[in-house]
Amino acid sequence: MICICLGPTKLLDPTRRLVTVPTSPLDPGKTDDGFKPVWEHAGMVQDRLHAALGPDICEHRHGVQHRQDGVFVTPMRTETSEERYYRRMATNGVEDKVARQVFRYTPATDPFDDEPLQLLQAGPAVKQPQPPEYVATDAVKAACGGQVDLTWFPAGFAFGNGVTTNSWVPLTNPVTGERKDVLLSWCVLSPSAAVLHKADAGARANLRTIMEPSI
Amino acid sequence: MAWTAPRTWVSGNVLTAAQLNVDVRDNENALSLHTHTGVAGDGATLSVLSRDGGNTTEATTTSTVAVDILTATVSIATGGIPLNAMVMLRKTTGAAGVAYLLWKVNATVLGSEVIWTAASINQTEAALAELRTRTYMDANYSGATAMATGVNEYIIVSGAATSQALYTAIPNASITSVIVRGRVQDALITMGADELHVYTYPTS
Repeated sequence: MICICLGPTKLLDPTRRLVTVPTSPLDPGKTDDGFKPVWEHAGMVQDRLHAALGPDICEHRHGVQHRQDGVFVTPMRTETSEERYYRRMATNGVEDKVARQVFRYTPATDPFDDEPLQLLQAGPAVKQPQPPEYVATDAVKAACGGQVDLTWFPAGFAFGNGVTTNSWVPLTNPVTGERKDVLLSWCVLSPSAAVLHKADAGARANLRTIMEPSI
Repeated sequence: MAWTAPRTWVSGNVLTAAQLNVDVRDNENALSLHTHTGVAGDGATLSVLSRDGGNTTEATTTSTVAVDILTATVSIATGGIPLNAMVMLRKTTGAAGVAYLLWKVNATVLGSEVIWTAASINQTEAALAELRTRTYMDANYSGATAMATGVNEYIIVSGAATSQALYTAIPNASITSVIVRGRVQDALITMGADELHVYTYPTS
């Protein structure tokens, strides 16, 4: 289930602000003071969700992707030690062809054997038969004029999984064609958390308070 | 108001308001208000890089699958025009994992994801990523004299020294959005994207 909330997230210490270039010959319309606020990032919000609602609140299964047009599941597999070796050789600047011909993989002398193996796609993403579940908070509905559903989002828009914060999303009212950029944060709930979210008003309020601290 | 060649005055002429309006007022207005259309006397617009849009609010994610993080709403009338988009990327510590980048134009995802971090090391990292596109070049030759399809997009990432040539046909219709997609290898890591700027180049 996708929980769509209105941004921004919690403002950190107001004195800590990102420094930006205030003006530019290529950007004459920019009139800010050269600083912008620092808000909680997705990892901080996720930590607070875990603390308040449990460690399994978010959907984190690799390969499970929520999109505007459906839920897609990509089969995954763990890479082999040999694949890890050639991947890491490439990141160290050794061309794949050179690695395979000159510095061949040998299990006994694998310098990367203490590093974690990655998950790799084992096939194409498969669209699930059931449509994506979603809920938009009252604040999002108010910002959009009273209603919003997934058809308002750009075609194929990817919500991913986990937590995403402070993203300007162009929403288009499918009836009037009116387009509006709205600052959104969203959390993709795990299946068990989705059940909790539907049944427990307290959990819903907790999640909204963490995701929408200024509302 | 177009420029009117001023009359030549001779001895004995009587000045009228209408003549002053034409020779002075209208011509002053023409000098002040004319646009650079390339018409003789009006000058031409200098061909320069044009900023078509951007997004300067940092968006962040812990998603382990691709998510549309940062969207720049643009209005580029003609697809296929040379385009350059730049974005700042950064990630937190949390796990020994990497972060990935994808570019999307309208609803078209360009190529496959690029690892923009250095390696699977639990450390903070930052990079500047760039997307360059140009007019689509298909293979117009066949048989023994076949020529490769042109490179249509190039993704460059600083820091990780990563680059990738792509062959996806960029949309020929108007471009309304340039989107940064990303994901992290481990949900204990957060990836951020900010300062997205989209520029187009003149084609002639």
